[in-house]
Amino acid sequence: MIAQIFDGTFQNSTLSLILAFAVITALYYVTPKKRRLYFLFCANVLFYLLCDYKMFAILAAETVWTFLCGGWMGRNKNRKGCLIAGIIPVIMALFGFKYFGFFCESINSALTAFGIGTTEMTLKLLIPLGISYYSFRMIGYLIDVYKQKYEHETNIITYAVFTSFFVHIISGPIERYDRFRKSVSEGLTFRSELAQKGFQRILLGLFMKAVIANRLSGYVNTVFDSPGTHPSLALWLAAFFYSVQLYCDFAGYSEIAVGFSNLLGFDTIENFRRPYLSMNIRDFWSRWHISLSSWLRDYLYISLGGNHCSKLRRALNVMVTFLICGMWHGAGWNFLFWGGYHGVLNILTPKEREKKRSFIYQLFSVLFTFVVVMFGWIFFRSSSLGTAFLYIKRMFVGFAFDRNSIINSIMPFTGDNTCVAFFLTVCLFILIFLIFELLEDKRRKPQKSLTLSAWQVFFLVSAVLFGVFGASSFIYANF
Amino acid sequence: MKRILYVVLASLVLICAFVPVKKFSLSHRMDNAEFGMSRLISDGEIDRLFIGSSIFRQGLDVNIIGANTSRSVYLLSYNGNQPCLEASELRYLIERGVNIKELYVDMYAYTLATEVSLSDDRLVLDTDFKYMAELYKMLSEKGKAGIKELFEMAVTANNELFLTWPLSYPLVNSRYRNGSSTAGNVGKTAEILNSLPIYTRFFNLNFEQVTSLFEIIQLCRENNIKLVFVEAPKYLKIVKNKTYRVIMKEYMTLLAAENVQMIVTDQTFSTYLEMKDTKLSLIKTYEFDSSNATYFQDLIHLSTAGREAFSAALSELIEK
Repeated sequence: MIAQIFDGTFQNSTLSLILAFAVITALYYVTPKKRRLYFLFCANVLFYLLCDYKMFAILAAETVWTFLCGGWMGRNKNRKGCLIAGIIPVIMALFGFKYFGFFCESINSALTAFGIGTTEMTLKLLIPLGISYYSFRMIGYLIDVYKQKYEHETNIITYAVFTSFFVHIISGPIERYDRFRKSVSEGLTFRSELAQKGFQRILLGLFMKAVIANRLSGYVNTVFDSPGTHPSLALWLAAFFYSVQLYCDFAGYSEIAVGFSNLLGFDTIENFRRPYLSMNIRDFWSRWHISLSSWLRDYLYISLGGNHCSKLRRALNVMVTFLICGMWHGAGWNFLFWGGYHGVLNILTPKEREKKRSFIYQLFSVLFTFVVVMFGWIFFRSSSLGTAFLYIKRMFVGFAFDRNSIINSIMPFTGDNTCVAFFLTVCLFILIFLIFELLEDKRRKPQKSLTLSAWQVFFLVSAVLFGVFGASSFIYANF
Repeated sequence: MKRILYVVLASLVLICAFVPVKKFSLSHRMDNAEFGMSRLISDGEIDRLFIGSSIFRQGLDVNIIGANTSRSVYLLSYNGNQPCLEASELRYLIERGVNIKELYVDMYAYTLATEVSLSDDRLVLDTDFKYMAELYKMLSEKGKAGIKELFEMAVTANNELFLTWPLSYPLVNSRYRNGSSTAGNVGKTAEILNSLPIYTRFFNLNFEQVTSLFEIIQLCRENNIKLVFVEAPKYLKIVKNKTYRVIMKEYMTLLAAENVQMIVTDQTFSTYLEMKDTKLSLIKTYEFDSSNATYFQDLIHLSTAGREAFSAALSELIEK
């Protein structure tokens, strides 16, 4: 763990992170109740310094600036001016670190294509850890204060704990200030029921991340890095596995983060609600990365006019929201295309009415939605837009389902004869996880404590015996 | 809090029970397998044993060698098998009463320079608890094994095989005969092979690996086993690689000093001829077209065509 801190890979290891979270949680409860907020502040600062000490100044500066702007907004008549003054530096920092290189490259490519020559601007910067998350948290806070949804924060320590909360800094969720403030005002105490829920979430997250996501990453990387050297069947498998990997990686981390928040006494927003059991794309976006999609809905889509406008304007609002959603995930044409793809699908999907549907209809809808989402992930995972289209083309051209294709499609798992066992194991765990998700989705009453404990034991034992704990980074930490 | 404690305790009990259950339930299941050590121990005797890494597994068909003779042949291979591990495997077999008449060891230059490590978990699957303890001791003394490696060896190694045994084992076993892989592998083009990088992290001989090399020689002398080191063909890019040539030269010098027989490619032999102190009688050579890309699936592993060509050439030399 110490070596990881020095070589800058500390935040990439699931085990190191869980260990760090557990130590902080234990020390948190040793600290007197009155000093817990200050303890959290120190823990957040230390945690960020351990993960990305070079970029700490950016987080600190933005925190102080948005705190001051929030305060001025509360006291000043020119509220709009304070809002703009608060948001612009945050957006500029986000744009500068994340998108400046991409825009320079795009301008260069366009100029070269027209034979005009190239510009000198090719600056590529290191992206500060969690900038996409804490920027959105700060912007949300400023807009809410502007709209007088709640009073501005007067204690900078409380605000700093909110912007830099150590469990949320790497991969979210994008917490809202009012929810966070409620937990702080309730006294930061141990809440047994919440802690129990948190423990369950940590185990589930560990299972999703270590047993499924990490286990799939090698296969997915091998096939996506050189799709031309693998049979079409392998490309289908890799697309399916990437969809599962991305969900288990991101939702797994979210579960761990929410779980530790619960252990610390914070009731945090749920980030995923079984998204692959969605009946259509609209349903999918109400279950996938909920903290981001609800943020975009509340602060962007509604600000643009939302549903209260003409059909054409509504469609435009949806497209803008999804294009920005795509860009939030990464600086690249493939991310922009992915956002547009979901935007179009969203516009085309009719609003579902509450109606009892047959099992066959539900099954078909779920499968169809999954396949549509899976094709979207190909753009998301590929290194460029061109590679993604080539990948999809190769999925269909020369498709074969014979003995050789099957063997050559399974082989990338380990490269030797253990590939069959590896493939079957991961399929088995995906199946068990699917059963768990289906049961959770259908559940109307709280689970019996014995069933709950059985699942917890299963998650923990599986994570220890079948978990892969290499230094594989959290996919969503890159956004 | 109480329930959290119960969950942790129940999980610990299950994990502790899992380790011996896995070990004992798998221990005799591989006695009739077409690969691994259990089969050798259960047979108790072998005329010609080939021991090596995936280079041997992919590139050597011992059944071609065995076809022209009534002697029994077997290939024992583990991924990245290195002298340190090969010595411990040989000792394990001898201690369990396996009578070996001739031993042919994979002579792959880079394994003599590599750091001591457990490169294949399957070694733990094939052996007993005592061997596992000795192996860990050796790895921690000669290599960098720590708690993580111990946990992997004792708890997580081969869990996938254990879990999927009824399905995966018959499938895997059907792809072996006497330890040799029967799976077909298509060769590549020169363009693809030349674009592949050579992964070498170590450029000097590793003291522990060299010591283990001498241990193999010593074990063979003590147990009256005829010992031959065999170099499997590598693609021209590797053969021409300076590090490979330097290590091979040192490898051959070490073996020659101990009067150990070698079988090498004609290209490697020409490198050896540049040296002053030559013991030509110890070395046999075979011709192999290392520039023929269809013989290789990557820079070091042979394709089916390459495997057949090499096995036929080696069979002829051994029978001579």
